Amino acid sequence: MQLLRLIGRGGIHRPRDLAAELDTTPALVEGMLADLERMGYLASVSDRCGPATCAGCGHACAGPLGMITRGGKLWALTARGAHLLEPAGNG
Amino acid sequence: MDKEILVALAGQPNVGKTTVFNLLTGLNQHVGNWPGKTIEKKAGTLRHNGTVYRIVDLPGTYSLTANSPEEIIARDFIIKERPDVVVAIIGAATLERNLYLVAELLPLPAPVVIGVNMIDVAKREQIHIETDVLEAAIGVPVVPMVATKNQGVRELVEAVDALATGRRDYAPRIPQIREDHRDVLEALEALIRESVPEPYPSHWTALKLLEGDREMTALVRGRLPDDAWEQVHELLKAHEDAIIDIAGGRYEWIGRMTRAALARPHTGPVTLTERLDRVATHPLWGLGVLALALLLIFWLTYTIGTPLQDAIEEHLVAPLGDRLAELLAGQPPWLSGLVVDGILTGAGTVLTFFPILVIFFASMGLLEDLGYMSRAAYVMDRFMHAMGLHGRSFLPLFLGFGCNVPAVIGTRIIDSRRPRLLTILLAPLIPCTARLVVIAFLAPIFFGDRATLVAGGLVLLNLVVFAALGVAVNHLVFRGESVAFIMELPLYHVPNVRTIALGVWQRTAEFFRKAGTIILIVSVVLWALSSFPGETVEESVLAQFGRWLDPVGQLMGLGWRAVLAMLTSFLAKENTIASLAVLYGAGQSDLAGALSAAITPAAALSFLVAQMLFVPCAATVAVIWQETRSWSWTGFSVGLLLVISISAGTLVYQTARLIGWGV
Amino acid sequence: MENNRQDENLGSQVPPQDKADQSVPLSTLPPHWLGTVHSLMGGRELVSRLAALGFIPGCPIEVIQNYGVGPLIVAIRDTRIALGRQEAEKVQVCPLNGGERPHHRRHGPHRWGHR
Repeated sequence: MQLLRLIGRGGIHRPRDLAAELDTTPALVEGMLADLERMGYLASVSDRCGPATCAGCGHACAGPLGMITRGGKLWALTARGAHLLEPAGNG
Repeated sequence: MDKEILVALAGQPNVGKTTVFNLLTGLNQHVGNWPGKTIEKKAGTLRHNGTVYRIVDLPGTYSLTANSPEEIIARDFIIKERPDVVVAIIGAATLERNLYLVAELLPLPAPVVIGVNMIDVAKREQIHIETDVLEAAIGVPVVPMVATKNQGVRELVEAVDALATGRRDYAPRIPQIREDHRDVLEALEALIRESVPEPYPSHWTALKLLEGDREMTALVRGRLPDDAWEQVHELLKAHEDAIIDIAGGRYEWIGRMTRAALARPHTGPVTLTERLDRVATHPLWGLGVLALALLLIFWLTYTIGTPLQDAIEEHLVAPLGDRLAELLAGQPPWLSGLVVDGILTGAGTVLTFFPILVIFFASMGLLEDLGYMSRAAYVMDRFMHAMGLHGRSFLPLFLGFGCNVPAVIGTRIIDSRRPRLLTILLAPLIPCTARLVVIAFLAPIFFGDRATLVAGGLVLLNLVVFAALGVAVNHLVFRGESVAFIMELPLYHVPNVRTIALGVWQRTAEFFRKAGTIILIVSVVLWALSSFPGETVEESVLAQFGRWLDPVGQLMGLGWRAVLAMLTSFLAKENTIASLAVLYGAGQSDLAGALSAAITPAAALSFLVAQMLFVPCAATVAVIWQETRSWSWTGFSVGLLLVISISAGTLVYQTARLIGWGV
Repeated sequence: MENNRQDENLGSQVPPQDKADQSVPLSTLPPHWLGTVHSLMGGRELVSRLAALGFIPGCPIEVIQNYGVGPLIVAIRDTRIALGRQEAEKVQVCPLNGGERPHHRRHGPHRWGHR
């Protein structure tokens, strides 16, 4: 899905920004993120990462970020999700 | 009906008074402050045989002259609150010197019971004390004790009870002033008798005047008619050095009292304390021992403390956050935000201090109880003195490298007010690990290979500012007066785990109660400011504030986003990274790239400099207030650092512009 | 049993004054030298603190550590006390080691050769 592709570009993404790009509402985006998680393309990493650590790690994530929050739900791309994005499968 | 007895617990430092207090009151104790002062007040209760003993732990003092607020507190309590009994704890191995305080206590209007503590330590040094002989000589109950083994405590309470209820005769032999000063004393007393306010005893007041006691002199001067004061003043001037004779007289009394009761070896074997001190106070090896101790503390912090912090974050705070978010999913988003992002974040911040605080408090408590702390202060005094600090300032300041919060609380071991205030002011300049984390993240992005050089330079900068500020404040604010360095080196002894544990518990609980509340409030406020009124952070009140501060930022080459990031560091230094990530990196694929594109190296350097010297985090400010109880000193601290950090940042950026580097 | 007053008339125990000219500042005494306190100079606060700790004229005192610079450690009565150099300069002591005077007798801070 487009959402996955946007996230797959790398870095951190906020639902509001994603919503703006997809021309939809943040609430819908959050719903889609949850769906993607259920389908196994995204995994929740809130317990392991936060804005501070994530800024240096380079993985692709999404979540509602605040400047002083220590968490909040944070989703990262799983291997399966990354695989889905590859232009041509590597076998 | 319960009988109530008020007991004051007095004693010189290092006699084990705290251990006795803890044994008597257990957990029924309450720590607060003496009214209007920053000195700790401990009070507790003991219930025994149908009687309630209210026990107040007086500050440990060597005498009762108005040289320090502790001494004034101690004597005011006895004179004004009129306890039923004063328990004087003395150390068996330092009997004579400890009895000096008893010599000052006996003339006061409360009956005294003497507890001779650490009999075991004395025996080890081959010192023998016949407590019944001492009792017969002085005329007050004398109870032998080994508080660390819980021996003698019951006898002590019984003696207190007997004295308070009048079941026992009380006929103390009070030290009298030497013959050659007796006339002067009588003359003084006659002059002041009418004017001395209740409840001060006139004879005692006259003695204090002769000693040159500042408080009593001022008190009497204010109450006496002018001509009477003139006469008093003449008498006092003629006997300016009486204090030495008075003190000498007390020691003669002590000599007489202990002659039959005390047996000491003349040239004993070299004691363990002496042997240990040969290394511990050696100018070179002593530093080595200290370095070792510090290394140990920091090793503990990193192997136990940091993992614990992470564990608390991962397994406690974050899952709780998720759970709460789920629970509040149906509620308006601001409620969920308030609870999870505002309140829980604050609570989480407070909780993560817990492992570090416990380790630092336990280490300091252990070193103090062991007797090593004064050696550490001795070894470092040379270096600290130049900055107007005390040798005892070193350890708390060094702990500041781990975290500034226990460093500020740790300044309690500094017993004089001015060095303590100065140390508290300077403590935030010690770069704590949180600040180092920020540098570790940002420096590589902007300075690549030279990141370590930059980092080292920044730490060095902090220390230079630290030294310079110390000297400056000492000269300007404290007018260069330094406190006399007189410190007892007590015998080393086996630390008492219970005392240390209780101390750790009390300090940590106090932090949670006082500083914790402030941190929580700051967290909620910051959340509110950054979440309203708009949808995104960029539209929040806080961002507006950041934009408003743009002119200041421009001086340092920083846009409103960087300024905003620094503002959020108030709650926790690490927030800077999070803020930068959100403000510059949201939606970007490469945060590092985004940052280096948006901020020039010169501006980055100025940002780092300002960040390193910036106001302390909310927790540190909270404990500064907690320890100084002075809004003005806290405000001064924060304001001063703010000015310094902005100036330094500006200086760096403008200089870089001038020489055309990294712009 | 005694009543509340004592019966002393013992007078001062300061050693005879003819040794006054042999007193030196405590800061100049090398380690392991013994002496007796002669007098205290300095502000009232310092004097009263020292006196309370036992620095009374006539009292024996031993230097435990003195490196010529920085604070010293002395043993007086039953305790070891660390004193800053400035404070030690204000304590005048009559040295007792064989009645000898320390070799380099000067007032003020002092540097010892061995290092």
